[in-house]
Amino acid sequence: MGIRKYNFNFFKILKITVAVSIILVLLGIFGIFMMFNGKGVGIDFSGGNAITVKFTKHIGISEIRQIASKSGINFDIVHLPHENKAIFKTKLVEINNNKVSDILDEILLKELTKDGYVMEGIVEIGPRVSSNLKKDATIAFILSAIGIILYLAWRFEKKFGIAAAIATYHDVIAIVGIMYFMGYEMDLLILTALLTIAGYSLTDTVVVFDRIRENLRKKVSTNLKEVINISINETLNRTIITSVTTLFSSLALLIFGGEVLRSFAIVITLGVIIGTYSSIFIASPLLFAMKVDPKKLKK
Amino acid sequence: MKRLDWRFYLIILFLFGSIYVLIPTFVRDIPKNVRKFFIVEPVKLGLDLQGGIHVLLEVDTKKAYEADLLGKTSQIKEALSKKGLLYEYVKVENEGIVISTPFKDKWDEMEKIITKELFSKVDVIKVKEDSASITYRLEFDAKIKEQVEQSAVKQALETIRNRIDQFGVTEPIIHTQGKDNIVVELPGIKEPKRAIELMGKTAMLEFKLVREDITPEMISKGNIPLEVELIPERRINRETGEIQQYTIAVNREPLLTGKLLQDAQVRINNQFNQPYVWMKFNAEGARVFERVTGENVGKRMAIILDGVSYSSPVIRDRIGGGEAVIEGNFDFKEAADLAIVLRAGSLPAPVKVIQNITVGPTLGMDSIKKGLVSTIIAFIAVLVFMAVYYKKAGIIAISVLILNLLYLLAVVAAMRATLTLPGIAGIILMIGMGVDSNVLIFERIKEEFRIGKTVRNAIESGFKNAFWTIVDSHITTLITAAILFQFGTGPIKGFAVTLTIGIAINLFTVLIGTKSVYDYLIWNKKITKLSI
Repeated sequence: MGIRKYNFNFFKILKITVAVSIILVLLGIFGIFMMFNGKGVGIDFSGGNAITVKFTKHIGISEIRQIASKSGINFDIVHLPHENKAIFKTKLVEINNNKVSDILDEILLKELTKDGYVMEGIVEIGPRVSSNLKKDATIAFILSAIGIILYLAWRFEKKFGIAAAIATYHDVIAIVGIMYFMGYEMDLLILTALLTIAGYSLTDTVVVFDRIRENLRKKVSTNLKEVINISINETLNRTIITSVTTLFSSLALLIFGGEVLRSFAIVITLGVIIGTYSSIFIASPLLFAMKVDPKKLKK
Repeated sequence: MKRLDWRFYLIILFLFGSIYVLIPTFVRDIPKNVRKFFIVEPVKLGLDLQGGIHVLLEVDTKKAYEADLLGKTSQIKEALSKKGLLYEYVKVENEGIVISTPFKDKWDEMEKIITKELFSKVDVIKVKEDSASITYRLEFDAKIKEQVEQSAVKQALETIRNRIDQFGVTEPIIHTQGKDNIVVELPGIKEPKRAIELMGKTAMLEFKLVREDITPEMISKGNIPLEVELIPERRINRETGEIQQYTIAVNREPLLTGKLLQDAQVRINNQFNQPYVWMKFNAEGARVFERVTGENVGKRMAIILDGVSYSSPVIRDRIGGGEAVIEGNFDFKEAADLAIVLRAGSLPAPVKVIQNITVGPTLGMDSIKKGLVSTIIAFIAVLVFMAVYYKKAGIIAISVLILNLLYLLAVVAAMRATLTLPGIAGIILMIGMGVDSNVLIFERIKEEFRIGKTVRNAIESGFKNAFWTIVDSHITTLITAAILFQFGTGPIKGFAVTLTIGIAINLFTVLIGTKSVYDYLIWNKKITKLSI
């Protein structure tokens, strides 16, 4: 197996891919805009409570809802029937100086008795913590963009850095949009996954760019478009294989990793696909669009 | 010429080192006399895996500064009274002190006492002057405020550490974060709610004289003198055990505070079988207690904790010995915790829980189990794929991957870094992403081979050409990983640590490990065919 040479013309379907990317990015920008206005963000960024309760006996979602409604708090409930658990989420931190977890505990104690449930986990985030986090997250994304551009500008050339950064942020923004429309709330875990994917997508882009640089030096062709196309084809095997092995990991996480890591695994899975796509269809054509000059390449 | 060189031995050395470091993690119940040969502790698990609480407390530094200013007003009042200088009032207002006096001609003398004898670095600003009186405002240097706030946070930290130590938690982590936050991490704690209450209690103990001359009518009209305040009092009906709230009027100025306390213990009241807290003052406290009770025989004294009176008995006689009790409808745990906070001292300012992450032990176990299953499945999938696709080269890649994982865990254990759930997710991802460097090299070797190079040349130039690609891609990933350190919370930091160590190790194993295996094959085995 193994020795084959691809010869796809990736520029041929550029119009379609550019259209797809623009739509994805617009959806993402919409999602980010909504998040900055407080929609679609988890308690890490909005403040609030997420309380995980394990029931000793099987208990239906309607009954859980009924019990929760007695607290007077409008909980958003995630039911995990296989594990006999429920996660109670609310953007409230406290009511009249009573902690939300205490209020829920009191109701559950009354309805289910002491042996009927265990409060397995509480995540309570105050408003100051969440607003600080929002600021930190924004700074982190800006800093990483600057870091990437500077490094690649130093190693390659300015335009390579910019193209790689655009491709990477294309992925991050597109995934944010998809997650938003899938109904996932942005939290620290998703943010971590996004930065991880930024790293992955970047690796992918760097591998292709490296080949483009090499082929520009070797003067494989005088036509920039052709050089780029040849480079993508030459690295295609590696691109596919690494995507496959990384997908093995992210799918294992998605299927066996449990509820806590689900959103993380989805972001990684989406990221592997979109990251691979963007190295080929966004980053490389951008080099062509920006007309990189082979003479400016560093050694 | 080349044989098994230093790189090979280095890999083997690290391999045995890693196994040695990881034995305490994977083998439980090592006999004690054997255990001492393993100097490294097991891998430290984050709170999200072993259970526990992570609490972020915010110290109300504004209140601490107010309290400091309140102390200064007493100093001013005392100094002025001593000199026979009269004032209308001295009070704290909007982070400053306001003094008003009808004796305008005496102000210069007053100001001299305040600015020369009492405090330095204070601005005196005239606020108001009319025919009846003159009013000045004192503003202290911003540095003083900063100092007071800093020392309040430091003192709060010490007090909380004291309380936690007395509560009995193994390996608590307590440190400040930012200007006015305190992080408390308590792994494996059984009663999280109780611990959080224990930390957050201000535990300000005060003894104040009850003003029985203030009638309920005056209270309802809000017609009370400046030196008097209204506070709630809890009274318990002994028969029903019900708690009722009353309002009582007391002097603002306390007779005595908990600062002079030496000890506090839980005792059981034999008559009602009720726990209560017994307190003992130090020598100075006992003297003050004896004096103030002697001066106020026949009056009532309220025992106040955090602004709530627990009882206000009539002082029947001068009380020597410096002992007092707090009774309430406590259960034993409540009384025990109260004794702890009284012993450990009060917080200099109220603290507020602004973040609380509590993870029960079962939730953590569950996460570890699922993480392990995912790791194994991901590993098997990658192993089978690599072995089928790259044949013998694939086996090399997998061996390198195993080295990666072993080294990673060993470094995490040796550095006492914390393994968190996202950290485990990072390890699982590393299984998939970690083979990438080898894939890059293999694909390069195949290409070189295809253009007609010999096996040896193909391998040599394959490595050479892939080298910078691998370095560049690792460093760019490192940049994003480093930025994750920004996020203070435990789990994400744990992920950043795992990812960063993973990247560094990957770079090492590929550039040193894979390379030396191929060098060995070329030079010693003189391979002429590629199984790739």
